[in-house]
Parts: sequence; C-alpha cells; structure tokens
Amino acid sequence: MPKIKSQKGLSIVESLVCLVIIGIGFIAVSQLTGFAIGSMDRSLEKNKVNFLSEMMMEDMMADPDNASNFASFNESCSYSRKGGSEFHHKQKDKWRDKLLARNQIKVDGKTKVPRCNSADIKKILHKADATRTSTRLNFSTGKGKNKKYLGVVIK
Amino acid sequence: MSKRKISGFTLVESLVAMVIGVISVAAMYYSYQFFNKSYQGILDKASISKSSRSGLSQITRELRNVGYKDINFIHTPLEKYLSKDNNVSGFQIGSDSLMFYYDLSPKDRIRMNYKLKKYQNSQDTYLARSYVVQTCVASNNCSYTQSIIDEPFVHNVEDFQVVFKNDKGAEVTPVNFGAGKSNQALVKSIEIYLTIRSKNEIFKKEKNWTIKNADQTYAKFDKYHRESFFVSVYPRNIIKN
Repeated sequence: MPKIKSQKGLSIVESLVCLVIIGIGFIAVSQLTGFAIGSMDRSLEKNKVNFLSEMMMEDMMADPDNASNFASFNESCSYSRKGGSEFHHKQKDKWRDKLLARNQIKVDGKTKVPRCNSADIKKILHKADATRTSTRLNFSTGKGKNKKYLGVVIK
Repeated sequence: MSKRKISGFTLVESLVAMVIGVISVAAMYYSYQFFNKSYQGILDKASISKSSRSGLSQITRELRNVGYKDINFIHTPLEKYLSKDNNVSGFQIGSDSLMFYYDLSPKDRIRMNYKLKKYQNSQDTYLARSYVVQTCVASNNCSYTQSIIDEPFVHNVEDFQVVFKNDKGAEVTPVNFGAGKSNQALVKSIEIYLTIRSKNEIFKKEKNWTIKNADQTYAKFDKYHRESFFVSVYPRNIIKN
C-alpha cells in the first residue's frame, strides 16, 4: 500500500490575508464604476454644450449686422449676467443663462450646474473686411486641455 | 499492514471555513447586485445622451428648412408653414405640439409634426414624429404619402417646449395657421426644450425634482434620472412678406 504523504495546505492566516487582498481588489473595481458614471455625466454635459454652441452660431447668423458686438463674449465659469438694453446684450445674457443651466433642473433643492474649470473658456472672435464677416467660437473644456473651434462666414 | 492516522479537519476548523465561505459568497452576491445596478444606470444615462443627440439634431436639421418656398412649386405657394399648439390635452404639464411645412422640390412639400404622446397603458410619454409628403404632378393633382402616425421618435421624453422669438428677443405668440398667421414671418429664433427621463429607476432613494423649461415648471418625486436639453434654431428660410 502506498504511503500517504502529509501535504501542507494553507494556514488560516494565509487564507485570510488572501481574502483581504481580493477584497481590496474588489474595492478598486467598485471605484471604477464611479468613474464610469462620472465620465457618462461629462459626456452628457459635452453633448449639451454642443447644442449650446449651435445656438450661439445660429444667433449670430440671425443678426449679421451686429456680429462685431458678440466679440466681447468671453466667459469661463461665472456666467454672471451683464445686463444692457440692446439686443446683443440680451442675447449674450441668454447664452450665459443657458451655459450655466440657470433655473433648469433642481434636485433636492440644489440647482444642477455643469462642472467648470477656470481654464474652460467660451469666447467669440470676430473678423471683418471689405468682402466678408466671419465669427469664430472657441471652446475649451477639460481644464482647457480640449479645444474646439467653430467658425462661420455670416455675411 | 500498518495503519497511519489520517488527520482531517476538526469541527472548529470546518465551522470557521464555512463561515468564511458564506461571507465571501454573500460579498459576491452583493457586489454582483451593485455592479449590475450601476451598469444599468450607466446604460440609462448613455441612452439619454444618445437619444437627445440624434433627436435634437434631426429636429434642428428639419427646422432650418421651415418655410422654404420653392418658387417653381406647381401647386399653391406656401403660406402656412409654422404653428405651435400650447397645452396639448391629456398631459400633466403644458407640452407643445410643433407643426411646420417646407418645400422639398418643385413637386414635393412636407409637413412635419412633433408632439408628446402617451405610451399605451402607461402614463409615460415619448416624443412622436410624423410627416406627410404632398406630391403634385399638376396644380390640381396632388397625392399624399404619410409616415406611421405618431411613431416614437425619442423615448421617455417628459417635456417638450417650443418658444418663438422675434428679432428683438421677445416671444412671438400665437404662431399658427389661424389667428397667428401673420406672426409666422416674425419668427427669428425657434427655441426647443427637451427633458428626457431615464428608462429605469436608478437611484436608491426618491429625489425631489423641479424642472423648468421656458415658462413651464413641473415637479417630480421619484427615483428616476432626468436631463434637460436646449437648442435654438435660426429659421433662415422664413422671409418677411
């Protein structure tokens, strides 16, 4: 009859340490889902900003004679209303309201505000000569790292 | 034959092993539930993002054509082209119905309609899109092709608001084919508000939502997620008569 060799298994301490290490791994994976939800939110915000940039371009196209007045638009995060009686003043204040999502959705008494970094700039540039007028919209997102330019010849 | 003593587990050892085993199985079960739930949440948010992008870009593309008159159109020229109905009946809030026309060619003219509809056997609503194409071979010989009436275009839309603004930024109202006919040509900007709700409940606890689109405000207390979208269109084909 063959001899049964005694085998060394894992001690209970070893197996507990192993469990703890696996547990830490699980915590890391669960943080991953939080990150995924956060990036989904960012993608939704970028989506909204895309529509808002369309709004700004369309508003300038609708008012081609006053395009130069829109060039003073340069906002990072405050979006405080500037007031003014002229039409372009009102339009720019409308843009500020929409970019900040002012009074749009409140959850548990808190207004939902898109995240913003002071390097995230929304700026209008204007160029006019004898033959044509064009405007450009500069968008910086992601702490100024991602830049987007939208240009249109309006006249 | 010599008998060797084979030592197994003691009772205490096996009890401890069982407890650890049960704890790890429970941990796996809860982590499965947690991952499944957050995955569902991500999927729902992704579908909100996707449907808003495709829905709003289609509406804006079509709205840019509103009022386009083909000068060679062989039937009567386009006179009614933009209309909005406030407070579509049967809804908790005054959602709008938007209707507009434009010419596709000297022979074809299209009528678009966007409005909220209720799903069958449900209080939930979707944005419905339908169109009718009028095709004329002669000035008194036209035929009509219709889309599926009120087919779901964007799912789980809670609010759809349309606001017309004039060249001073003030609201133009009413704009329709009757009393507001002369107001059609004053429209310089069409603003669209869309609030989309997640398909499933994704929060653990109920939240207090207050949503304001244009002048309409409504409130909800539930576990759903919501996003509001805004876009405005310059109707470049509307020309003052």
